[in-house]
Amino acid sequence: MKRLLAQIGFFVLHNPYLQNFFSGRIYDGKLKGFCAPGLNCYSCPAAAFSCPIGSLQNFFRGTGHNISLFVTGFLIAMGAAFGRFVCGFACPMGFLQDLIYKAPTPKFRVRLRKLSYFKYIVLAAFVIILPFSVRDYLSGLGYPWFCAYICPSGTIFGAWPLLAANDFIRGMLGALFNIKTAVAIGLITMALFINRFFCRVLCPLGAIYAMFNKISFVRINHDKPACANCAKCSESCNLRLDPVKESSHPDCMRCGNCVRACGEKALKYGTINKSN
Amino acid sequence: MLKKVIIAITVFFCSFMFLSCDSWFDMLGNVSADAPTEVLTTADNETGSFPFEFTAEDIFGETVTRDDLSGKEIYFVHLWATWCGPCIAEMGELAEVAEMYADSVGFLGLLTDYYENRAGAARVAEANGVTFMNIPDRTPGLETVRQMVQSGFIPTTIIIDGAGNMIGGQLVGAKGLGYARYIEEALETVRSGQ
Amino acid sequence: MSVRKRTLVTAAVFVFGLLLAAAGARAGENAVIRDKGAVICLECIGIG
Repeated sequence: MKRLLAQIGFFVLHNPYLQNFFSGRIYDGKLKGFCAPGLNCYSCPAAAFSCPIGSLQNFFRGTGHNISLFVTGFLIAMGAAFGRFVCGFACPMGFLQDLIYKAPTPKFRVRLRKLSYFKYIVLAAFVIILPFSVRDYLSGLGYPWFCAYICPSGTIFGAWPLLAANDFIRGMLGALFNIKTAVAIGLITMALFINRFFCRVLCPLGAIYAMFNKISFVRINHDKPACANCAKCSESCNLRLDPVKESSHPDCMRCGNCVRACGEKALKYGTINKSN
Repeated sequence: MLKKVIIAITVFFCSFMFLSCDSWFDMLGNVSADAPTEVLTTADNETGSFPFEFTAEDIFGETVTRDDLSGKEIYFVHLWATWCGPCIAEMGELAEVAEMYADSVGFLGLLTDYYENRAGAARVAEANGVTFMNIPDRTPGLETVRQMVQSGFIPTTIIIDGAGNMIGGQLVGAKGLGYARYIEEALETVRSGQ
Repeated sequence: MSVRKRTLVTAAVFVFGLLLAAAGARAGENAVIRDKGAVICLECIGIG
């Protein structure tokens, strides 16, 4: 329950300007110069900060210097400190998926071994390479491929509230909106059956944080002497990971199911220490 | 332990907000910090003069001032950016509208990414036959009109009279030839008012 | 690897990230980030 409270808290931290859901305007103050840690579209009316992926992409597709030192540095620091704790506790898109997963449907607890590599391709291709290389010959600008075609956070937290509050936008929608909505609804559907499907398979921000999981300062530690090898932990894991054999796996979002399932208190939240 | 983690995340996250900000106060406000502090006075404004003083270099490298824009009945202020697809797409039609009404309407383009992509803007303007001036949106002297055209959306257009009052509301979104209708309405308002 | 070494590696990466971010802030990147973030991203909401 503490994780749920944290997720609610971070949702509000990412999106404090709730009155904007009614006004249909977005916040345009100085906080938008900074990034949020989670995948939260800056077009969300209530959003206070800019999306790290959206900002990264804007630099890659722009005409100035293409690698944002600020956003990259921010993500490296967050990754080194927390790894995918951000995914598990702070990301609004992750929060939404966790809420959807609570619905009483059949659940498919699958490993997604090969599929989970796809998010690195999404990061490389849709956030970096395509925006950087495919440019308009007149303006010189690239296109925001990930935000435009894939990101469900933009559709759900940005497009839908804005459409509800602004009638002039409704007349401007075309084929791209149909694609975006189809992707968003598809991912919402997947979230009903497979835990955190988007996070494991498509999210480029998750891909970035995943690369830091093994070295992150805060982690889940496995105390070998105390372990009874009963496999209760891997059975409780929604991602079918094995905390005993593969602690700090790149996909582990530190949700704590395994910590709670362990009868010997061999798994604990902690920092880098002797175990593993 | 978990509480410490949550606190740590929040602290690290908040600490990034203080990396390079000028003032904490307007950081938290829900409106743009560029709100003008002076009230517009029209006492010293000649008839037909663009209501705000400015000097700037437009995207073609020419120095332009308020005088280059003056002598019109109304002024069409258009906020756009080169990274905005619809802005570029409507540029041809907007250039046509500007040609049609060049005698009675002063057209001013405010470019938000002037300093990052002036060259791209110049290419777009040339390819589309744009003849009106395009200057940085942050040009000193234009704070008031910049605030008026702020809508959270690009492109946004406003039509103002010689006293700096807005005629009608903000025109949000790309309208292309559709701008003509709003210009006609604004011209009628101004002419019948006199 | 010993605990000490691993902690040092993590700390070094963390500090590196902070330095990069500070460099970006000094280069004025935050204004550029805000320029895009304070405006509705049309593509993000399915237009254009």
